[in-house]
Amino acid sequence: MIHVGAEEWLVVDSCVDEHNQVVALAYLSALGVDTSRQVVRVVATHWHDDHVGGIARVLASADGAPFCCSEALRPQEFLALVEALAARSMITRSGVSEFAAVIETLKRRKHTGHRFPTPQFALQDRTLWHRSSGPVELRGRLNALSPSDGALVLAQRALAAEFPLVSKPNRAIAAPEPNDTAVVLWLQVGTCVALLGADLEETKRNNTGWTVIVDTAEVPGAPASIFKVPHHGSRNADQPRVWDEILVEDPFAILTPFVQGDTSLPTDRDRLRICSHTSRAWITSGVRRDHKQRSRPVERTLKELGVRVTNADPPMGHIRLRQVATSANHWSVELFGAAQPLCDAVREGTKGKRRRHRRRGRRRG
Amino acid sequence: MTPQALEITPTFDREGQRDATRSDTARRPSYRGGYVLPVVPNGEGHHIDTAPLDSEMIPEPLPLSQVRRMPTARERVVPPVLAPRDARDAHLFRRLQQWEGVVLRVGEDGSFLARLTDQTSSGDLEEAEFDSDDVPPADRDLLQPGAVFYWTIGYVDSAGGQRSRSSMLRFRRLPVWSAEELSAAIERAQSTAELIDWR
Repeated sequence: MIHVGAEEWLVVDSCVDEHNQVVALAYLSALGVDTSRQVVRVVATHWHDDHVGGIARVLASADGAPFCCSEALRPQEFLALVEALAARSMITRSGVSEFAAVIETLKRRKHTGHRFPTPQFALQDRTLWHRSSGPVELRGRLNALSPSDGALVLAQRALAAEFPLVSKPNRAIAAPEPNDTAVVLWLQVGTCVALLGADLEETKRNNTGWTVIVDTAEVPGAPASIFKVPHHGSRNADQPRVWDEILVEDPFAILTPFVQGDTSLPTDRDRLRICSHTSRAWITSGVRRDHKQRSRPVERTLKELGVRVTNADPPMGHIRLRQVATSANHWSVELFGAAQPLCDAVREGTKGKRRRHRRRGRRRG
Repeated sequence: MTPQALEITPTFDREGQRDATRSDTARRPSYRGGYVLPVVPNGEGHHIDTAPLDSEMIPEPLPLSQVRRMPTARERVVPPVLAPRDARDAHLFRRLQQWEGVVLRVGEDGSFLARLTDQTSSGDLEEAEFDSDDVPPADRDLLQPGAVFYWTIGYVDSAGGQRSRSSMLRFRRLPVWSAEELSAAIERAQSTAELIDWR
């Protein structure tokens, strides 16, 4: 959630807490924000389950906001996929089911004569929001830096491959990797600039990934002082040129963990790497997941079977950055819940061994 | 052999009095719960009701025209197919916990990772790793990413009064996609695209 001044908010992606309450709505409600008027954009950077939980409810509440999603989801193959899977109602909490609910909201808007029934599609260098009047410190824009044209083609092929085939069994859809549909956002308001990395991964192809963004995307007001680290800080989403050329030195870096089976992101190496670029990094939670205690016979059965059931996600945490002066680089950082500094554990473990990444020069947008 | 209705020799004399000197026990079917047509003609064409054997049903008397013949020595009575009471009540399952699962990935070592939704109480999302040996052999070919299953833990109470804890994995065998279903989805998508300009 981003306050862009003038009491207007952007909501980028969404998640739910352990009680299936939409975190963004609860937070905005606690601040006394009227989401029906003050939320001006609802953006889904991609359709993975962990990024769009509850986003349909956010959109339903944000009556004055268009819905923005990737250009890669524009083709009818995606709509047909959503229609086919939603009709069978296999799994109730998934990215596809959220998009089905978003589409229903957009249809309702059309039937009731609402202003914004049509989605905005994000593509590299397309502006999704702007404010060009008023005080200079409040003028701003939200630009998409991806998907690129090359990524579009790959994403559409991947989506077409997911469409069910006649006489084949039904199964829950698996998110394709790498994520070529992801929308990276560049937000500038006054002199404050933020780069929101979504789940975009760096690829070996020269027409997709972060290299394309660094080489060709328009990044007005660069460098950015706030960086949402992409893809949970994983190695395959790292492009050192991003840190060197479109971010300030020692930016504020925030990221979320990802845990699935024995895969935990960020790894210790990822933490070391991120902390070599900045000393100001925070993560919304650790990677440890809790186990819900059940009745004794169930617990004994689980123990006998040797099956460990854990919560799918780590405990919830929030990081809030608030500008303390009219300067691009002065922010207060507040941590809530399970949020914690990323680099403290690294400093403890690698005292004297950390070396700063050598900067190669800064690109001006 | 076509099963035919059995007649039993009445234990009543012509006047409707029970004839204790005639014992038909040996000719009565020896199975429990069997059903018989209790009609036997007498010389004048009247019929005499008899009580059904071990049955709570009191059948209506049948006219003479519907009287069937007695089985011959070479024929056997085919009783109705009824499960014995013990087999019907052999096991009672008392569910303690159930999840709906989706397979996330299948490992080379035969294990598989699944995302679980608690269906017993909270609907919370959880995760667990299983051994493919835990999957019933009949369901093994369904084990692939995206497959949906139910995992249930509970008590099994046997007819003999024994109780044990049980864990069951059962994969959903969903109907395959039909051409009509997919065509309908594509049509709905086209209609949606036109309505909200998603194109």
